[in-house]
Amino acid sequence: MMAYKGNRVSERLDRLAIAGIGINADNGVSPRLSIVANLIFLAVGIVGLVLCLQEQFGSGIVFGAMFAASTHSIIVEHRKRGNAPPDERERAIFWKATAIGAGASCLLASGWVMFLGNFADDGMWKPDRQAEWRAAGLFMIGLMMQIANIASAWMTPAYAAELLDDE
Amino acid sequence: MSEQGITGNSADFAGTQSMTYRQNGAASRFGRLATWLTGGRLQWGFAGPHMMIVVQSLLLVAGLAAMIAAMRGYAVFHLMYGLLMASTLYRLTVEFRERGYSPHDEREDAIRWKAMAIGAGAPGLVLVVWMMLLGAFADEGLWHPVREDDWVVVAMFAVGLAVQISAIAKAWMTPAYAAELLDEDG
Repeated sequence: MMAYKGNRVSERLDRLAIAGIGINADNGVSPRLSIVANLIFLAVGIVGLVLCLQEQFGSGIVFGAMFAASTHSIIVEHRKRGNAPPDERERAIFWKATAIGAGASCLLASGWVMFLGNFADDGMWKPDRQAEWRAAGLFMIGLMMQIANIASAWMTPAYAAELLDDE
Repeated sequence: MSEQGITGNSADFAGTQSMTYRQNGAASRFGRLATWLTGGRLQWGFAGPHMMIVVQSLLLVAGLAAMIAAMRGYAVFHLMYGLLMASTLYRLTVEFRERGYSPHDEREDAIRWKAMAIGAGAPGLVLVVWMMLLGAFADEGLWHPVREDDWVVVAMFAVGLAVQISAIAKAWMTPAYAAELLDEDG
């Protein structure tokens, strides 16, 4: 007879992982995993932008963050739905998330430009070199995708797949 | 006058001077133009979705012209501010006349989010493309804001574009007969 003894460390790590990234983490489409991943991409984008402003790096890191966010959303969409068209709920979530992502980054950019209208001569930062313009553009489109991905994941219940199966 | 007196028989009108009605070509053409512009909702004033598309498109073109003027060094701060205010106030007025204080129904909510996604996404992408072009050609003289006024004009242009494009998208997706359909539902 082989006595089974639970490995407490492994159990705790499991619980921690589920608390952190949700119950669908095994197939990679957990909404909470999506939120965590996109927050990381957002942080990387901000760090890349700051490094670019300090002239320590080009726009490569910001491009990487933008590319990671777009790749992540494509992979998650494909794993969730395959080639099937989105249903009504998914379409509503898509448009709402896109509106939030695009609206937030657009308002942020407009607010920043509006402040420049008052403080550009006082030394407020604005893109100066070509690399900085590139980094700012890439950061803005990355921000759109990241916020849209986070909003979309936020509005998707973790148990959506189970509910659909029950139907 | 007896009932027999209004039969339409020409004999009944003998001795009276008849007034013939002749269609006024210019008036009917203007009427047709107005109906086309307003989508047949003249009784709403300027509040139909068709009129929204026309007005916001004109404001959008004016905004583009003002932006081009800014690039050429003209001072267009007040013009751009006026265009932004006109787009916003017109849209708010029309939406208030359409719905008053009642909340969005499900269809209106879906249309609003879709229109907002299109409206905010378009100027966002325009800005991104412009910044990427600057990333390649800024040193070769591609225009970018330098004076403080230029920056404010760019910000107002972007916000105005978002308001105008989302208003056009929303009107585009709203059928002119939506109000009548809602009445029939009740």
